[in-house]
Amino acid sequence: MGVIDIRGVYKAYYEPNLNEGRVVLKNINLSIRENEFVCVIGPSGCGKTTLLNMIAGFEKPLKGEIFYRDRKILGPGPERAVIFQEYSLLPWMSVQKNVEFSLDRKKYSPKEREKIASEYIEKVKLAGFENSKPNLLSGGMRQRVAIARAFAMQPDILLMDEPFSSLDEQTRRHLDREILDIWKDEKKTVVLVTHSVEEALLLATRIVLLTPSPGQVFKEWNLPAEKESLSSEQMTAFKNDIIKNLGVCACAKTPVTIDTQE
Amino acid sequence: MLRLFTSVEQEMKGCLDETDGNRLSLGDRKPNRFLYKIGVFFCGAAFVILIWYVITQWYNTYMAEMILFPGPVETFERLREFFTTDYKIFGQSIVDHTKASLGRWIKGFTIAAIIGLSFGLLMGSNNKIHEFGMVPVNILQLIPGLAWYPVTILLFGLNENSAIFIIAITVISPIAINTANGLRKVPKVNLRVASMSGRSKSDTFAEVLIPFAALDILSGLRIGIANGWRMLISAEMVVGVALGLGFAIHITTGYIDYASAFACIVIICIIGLIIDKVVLEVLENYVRSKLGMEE
Repeated sequence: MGVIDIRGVYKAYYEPNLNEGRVVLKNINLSIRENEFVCVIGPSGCGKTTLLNMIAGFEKPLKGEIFYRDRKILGPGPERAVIFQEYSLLPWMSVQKNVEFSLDRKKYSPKEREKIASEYIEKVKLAGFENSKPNLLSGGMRQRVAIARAFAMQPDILLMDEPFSSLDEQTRRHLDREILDIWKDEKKTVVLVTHSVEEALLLATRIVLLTPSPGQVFKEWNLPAEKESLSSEQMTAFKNDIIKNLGVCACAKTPVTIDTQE
Repeated sequence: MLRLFTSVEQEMKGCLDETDGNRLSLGDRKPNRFLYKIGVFFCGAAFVILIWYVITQWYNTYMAEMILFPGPVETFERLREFFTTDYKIFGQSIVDHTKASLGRWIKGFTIAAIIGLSFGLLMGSNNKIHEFGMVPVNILQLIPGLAWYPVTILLFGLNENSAIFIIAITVISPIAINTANGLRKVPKVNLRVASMSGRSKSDTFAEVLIPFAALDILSGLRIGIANGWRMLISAEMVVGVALGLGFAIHITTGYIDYASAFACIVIICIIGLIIDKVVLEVLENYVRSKLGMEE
């Protein structure tokens, strides 16, 4: 049993203009194990984000079930924190208040919440900006607040939906490293949706490639957790294989049927 | 120095030599936006008065037969008489007429705000209620205020409640529509943040939905308050209740006392300006800065 078990999940959206349903995810079976860093990659529109939203509990599968530690997921919960792709801070709250916002008020006293928030603000290297409002921060800094907010919740599993796609390359690499550090530090299970193969290679212990719409699991790769360099022979081999498969699956004209349990 | 016409850029340029860090402390070199705005306002107002003066001169020279068109001078002279002598319109001083109008306006607006806000909050929190609720709101919006004349006479007869009803009924829909829209515009992602953090429905409403919608709600109230004021004056002309600024304009015109009628218009204009520009705009800017949404 994994932390997250996805069993035979289908998702379709209704398109009113065409009066038809479009299947975005088809028969997804995936088990995410303890302490894994899973990167879901695939061509745009393959349902990566939808899959993540269903794990988070924001959307419900059309068919099939998703389990969190053997409990069926019926809605969002604090054990599954999300870092969103878009700007998700509350603009009228300071950095400190934004991080505190996500903390359980029944579990922690105001003092404790303040302390936890400060701790994580420091971890994402925003100490000194506690009282700034988000509109004064750069895009990278805002996303850091979102990271602090998610980690401060001390979730069991962290879900990230292309969290840095709107940032420049350099900031992005920087934040990837920081995520990696905190992940090693805190031993969490992570699911990251990305369209960047490089990012996936850098972060993941497992990469899952989805086919274009309707999304199905095309292939999976297990990677070592400790990587010296992306340009090492081993990583280059992984990279080439992934890019080759990305090309194959993007060109697949008919829905490919593959055995997902490799 | 008043620093009325300098821009921030000019002032920052002036400060460049005084600093070696990255901070330009403008201090008292800050351009005076407030005085500038007041200056602009008075220029605009002077332009309106000039046009008025030109029309007066033209009319009185070429068109007037018996009655002269009151110009700015005559009107402001009458305005002075209103407040310094015991000038009466239909047995009541101008202060009483103004008070009566303000009272009706506040009553009508308050009733409309309570109904409009609750209706808007209800519609904004549920899609089905919104679909259904927009029908009556749109119907309300399509009926011009004075068309409620037969309804209000039937319900309240010829008294001051009739005028209050007409204001309330026309002010409800802009408030309800803006409130509902404001709530529906709240980004999904922020609601998701709240639900993933385990915030209850009522907490989410108070801490996420209301602050996000605050500016829209406020602008609904602002439209409502302005519409109400306009509606009140026309309502008072029709639902004659022997008191109020609208009635005063109506009756003085009937008595061919045009200068008084014009003076009443000036009073209406000044009250509207004070409420909109001074009270509501300041309130809106305050909320905007509180919400971290200033440009």
